[in-house]
Amino acid sequence: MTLYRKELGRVLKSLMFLLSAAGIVLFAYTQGVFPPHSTITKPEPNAASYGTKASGDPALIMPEAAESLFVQYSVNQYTTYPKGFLKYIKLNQADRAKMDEIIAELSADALSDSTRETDDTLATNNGSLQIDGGSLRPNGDGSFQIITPEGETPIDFTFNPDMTWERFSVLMERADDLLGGGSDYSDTWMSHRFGQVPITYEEALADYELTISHDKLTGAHARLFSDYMGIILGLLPVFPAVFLCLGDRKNIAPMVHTRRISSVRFVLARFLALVTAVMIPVLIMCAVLTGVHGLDYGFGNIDIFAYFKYALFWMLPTAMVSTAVGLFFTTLTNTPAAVAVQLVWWFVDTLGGSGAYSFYGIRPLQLIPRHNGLGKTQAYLDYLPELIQNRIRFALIALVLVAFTTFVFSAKRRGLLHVSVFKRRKI
Amino acid sequence: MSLYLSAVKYNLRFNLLPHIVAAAGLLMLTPVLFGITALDAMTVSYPLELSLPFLGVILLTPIYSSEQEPGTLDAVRVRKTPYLLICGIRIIMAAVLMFMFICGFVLLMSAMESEVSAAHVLAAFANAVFLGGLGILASAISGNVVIGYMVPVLYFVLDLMGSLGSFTMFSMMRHGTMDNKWILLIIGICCIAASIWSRYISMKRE
Repeated sequence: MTLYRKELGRVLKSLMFLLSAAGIVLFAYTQGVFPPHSTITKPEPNAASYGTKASGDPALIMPEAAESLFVQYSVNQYTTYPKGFLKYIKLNQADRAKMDEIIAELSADALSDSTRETDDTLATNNGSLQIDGGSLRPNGDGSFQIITPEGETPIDFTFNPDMTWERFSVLMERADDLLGGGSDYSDTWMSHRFGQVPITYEEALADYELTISHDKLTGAHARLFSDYMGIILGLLPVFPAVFLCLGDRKNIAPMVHTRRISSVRFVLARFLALVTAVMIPVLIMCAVLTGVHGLDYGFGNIDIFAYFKYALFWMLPTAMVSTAVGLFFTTLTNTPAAVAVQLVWWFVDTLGGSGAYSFYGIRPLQLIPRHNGLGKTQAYLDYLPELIQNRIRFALIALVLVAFTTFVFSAKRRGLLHVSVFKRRKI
Repeated sequence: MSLYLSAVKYNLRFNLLPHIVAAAGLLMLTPVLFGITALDAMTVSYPLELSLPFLGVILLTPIYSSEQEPGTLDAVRVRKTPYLLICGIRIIMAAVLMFMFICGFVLLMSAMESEVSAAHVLAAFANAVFLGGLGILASAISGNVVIGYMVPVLYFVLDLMGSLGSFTMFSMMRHGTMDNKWILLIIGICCIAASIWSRYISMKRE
C-alpha cells in the first residue's frame, strides 16, 4: 500500500499527468459530452424521422446488396474494410470472370451480350471502366441502369426474384472471398449495411420509456460518455506508463532493482497507481455530470451511480489494457516502442469494423466498445452479454500483460534478460 | 566541412538509425492498412493524411532525447562543437529523410495507379513537419521525449475525432483541399525554431 501511494504520488506530481488529464477533459469537451450537449426528450408523434434500424429481412437485404455489388462490379472498383480501413479493390481478369458468374446468377436474366462485350473491353483496358456520377440511373423498380455513350445499349440489372436467401448467402460469401474479405457483402456486415427500415413512432416511444425505466436517464448519458471516453482511454494511458518506466531507466533503475520488494508487488503497485491516476479525471467528470443531470432532470429521476458504474464496467478495462501495454513493452525494451504498438492497435480498433458503432454491436476483441447514440436502450440490452464477455476478456488481457511485465522485470533484476538490440548507444 | 560530415555520420549511426527503421516500418504498414492501389484523387488522402504525418513524429520528436539523459547535457556543453549546430544538422537530416520517404511513398502510389501529384508530396510533408514540430517543441520544453510523443498524438486524435478548423490536418480527406497546408507548414517550422530557442535557453540556464 505504501508503494502504491508512492507510485501514485510520482504520477500525480508529474507534468505528464497534468497533460494527460487535460487531454482527457479536452477530448470530452470537444466531443460534446462534457458538458453534455444533448438531452433525452419524449418523441413527438408525426415527426419527420425517428432514425433507421436494420430490418434483417432477406426480401429487403438481397436486392439492395445485389444492386450495390453490381454497381461496384460495373466500374471494377470495390470498397472493402479488410482491417477496418477503407481499401479499394480491383479484380484481375481471372477473379473478374468468377465475379461475372456471381452477377449472372444474381441477375434476373443472364448477363446480356452487351455486358459481355463491355466486359471484354474492360479486360483489354486493364479492367477499368470510368463511370461518372450521372451515368448510373435507378430505374425506380429496384433495378439500375448504366448509361453508356450514345449509340450503345445500356446495361441493365434486375435482381433475380427466384433467388433464395441460402443461395444468396453462399454467393455473397464467395464474392467477399474474391474481394479479400471485409466487404459489405461479408456475413458480418451485410445485414447491417442493407435492408435498413425507418423506426416507427411506437418503437421510438418504447425506447424512450425503456430509457426512463431501465437507464433512469443518466444510464443513457453515461453510455454515450463511455462511447467517447473509451476512444481516448484506449490510447492516452500508454504515455504515463511509458513515462514512468523510462524515468526509472534514467534515474533510479539500479536502486529499484536492488530493493527487497518482490517484483510482483512492485509491478502491481505501479500498474494500479497508473490506472488510478488515469481514472481520476474520468471519475471527477462523472461526478460533475451526475450533478448537472440531477439539476436538469431532478435528482429523484436519475440513477446517481450510473456514471460510476459505467466508468468501472465499460471504461476501466480499456484503460487497464493500454496501461498494461505501456508497462510491458517499456519494461521489455527500455524504449517508447509501446506508444507505437498502442497507436497501431488504437487505429485498427477505432477506425476498424467499418462503422461498428452505428450498429450497436460489440466484436469479441474490440478494445473500445462503441454506442454512438443517446438512448437505444433495447439495442444495448441486446448486446449486453457480448459486452460483459468483452470487458472481462480485456480485464484478463491486462492482467496477463501485467504478469508478463512482472516476469520480464524480475528477469532483468536478476540480470537474466539482456536484449542487446534495445541497449542504448551514445556518441 | 569535415566536422559537419562527421556530425552527419555519427548522427546517422548512433541517433537516427532506430528511427529510420521505425519510419520504414510505418511506410510498410500503411499499404497493408489502407491499400494504395488505384485510389482516386479523394481517397489518396487517407494514407497521406492518416499515416504519413507520423513520419514527422518519429523522426523529429527525438532529436534532443540523447541529451535529455541526466548529465549528458553537461558533457555536451563543454565540448568545442556548438551543441545547437549539431541539433540543427540533426533537424535538417530528419527533414531531408522525411521528404525522401514521402516522395518515395507517393511515387509508389503513382506506380500503383493512384491519382497523386507533386502537390500531394508537399501536403503530406507539411502535415509531417507540423506534427513533428509539435512533438519536438513539447519534447524541448518538457525535457522529456515521451511528452514529446504525446502532444502530437493528442492533437491528431482531437483533430480526427472532431475538427480543428483551419488547423485541421485532414483537409484533403474532409474537404478535398490543400489550402491550409501552408499554415501547418509555417506553424511546424516555427515550432522547430522555438524548440531550438528553448534548448538554447536551457543551455544558458543550466
